[in-house]
Amino acid sequence: MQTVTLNVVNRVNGGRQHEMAGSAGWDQWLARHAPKLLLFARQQARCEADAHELVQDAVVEAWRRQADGSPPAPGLVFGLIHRRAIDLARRNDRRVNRETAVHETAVVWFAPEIEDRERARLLQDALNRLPVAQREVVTLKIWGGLTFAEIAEALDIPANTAASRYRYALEELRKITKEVFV
Amino acid sequence: MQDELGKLEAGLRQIPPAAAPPELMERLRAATAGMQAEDRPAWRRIFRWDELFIGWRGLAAGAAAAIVVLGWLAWHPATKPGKINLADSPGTKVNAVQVGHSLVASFDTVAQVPGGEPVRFRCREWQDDVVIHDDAHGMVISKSTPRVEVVPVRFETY
Repeated sequence: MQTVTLNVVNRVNGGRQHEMAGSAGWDQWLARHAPKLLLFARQQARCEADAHELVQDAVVEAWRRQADGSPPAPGLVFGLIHRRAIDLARRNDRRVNRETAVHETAVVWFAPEIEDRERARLLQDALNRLPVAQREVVTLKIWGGLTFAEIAEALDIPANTAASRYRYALEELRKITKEVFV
Repeated sequence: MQDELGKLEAGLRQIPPAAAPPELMERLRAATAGMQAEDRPAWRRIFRWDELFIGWRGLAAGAAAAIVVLGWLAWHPATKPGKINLADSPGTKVNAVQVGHSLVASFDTVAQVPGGEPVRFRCREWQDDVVIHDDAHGMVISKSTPRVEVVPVRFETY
């Protein structure tokens, strides 16, 4: 007879205390998390309109899942954006989208102070040169504020893979932006 | 090297993401307005699950359940004939309880969700066994229950 011990693994939305519910809580949550959710969605979508759709769909879906009406953990929303972006990419796979070129050149991912604008532009270029898998991990870690365990849950990858992708991404960014950041 | 990467991380964190456009923020507020706690129907506010189990409503519900159970026991004091009741056997003493799970079968199957996305299902068939030993009377009570576990696993796309 084989005895099995079942380990309970924390869910993405299970490891954090609920943030304040209510309209003030929602507004605070949106103000705090919308910029980083949009940054991630912009990297996943082909155009700005799609990025907005991804954020809205994911936020609504994540809040629907909260039984007590409190705002969800950001990791859950990032994961939903990721999955919906994959679905969207499959649907649009053969469609030539004119907005793509506009999106790549016109949308600014970062909004620093005036003196850092050049660094921000170089950073956006550098991120665009990274493989998608590395870019999404470094984005979730640096600007999303997620742990590797939360990134793993959001992207459906092992935590070790998330950590190694992050390390490779930083190495690449270091080479590309050496004079700018280090 | 680690020092350089640390400086790089710090430098990256100093550049914040661009703010979400006002029109998107408006859309998000409008889309979530109906789901905010204040806008929930009254019955959902009263019977929120988290409060049902934590707080005075939980205590009240527990007390009510206890009264119902005690009342039922008072009206049905005798155990139905033919049923084994260990409490009625004063000499019965459980020495050990053994709980085990045996993996009977494990296989994967693939299906497509309505959107066309392939999904792998990891299926496992378990046998849950509970064995109770009463060494004083040389009695062993065992119960086996089959259990099927199906876990959907999304295919990696890259």
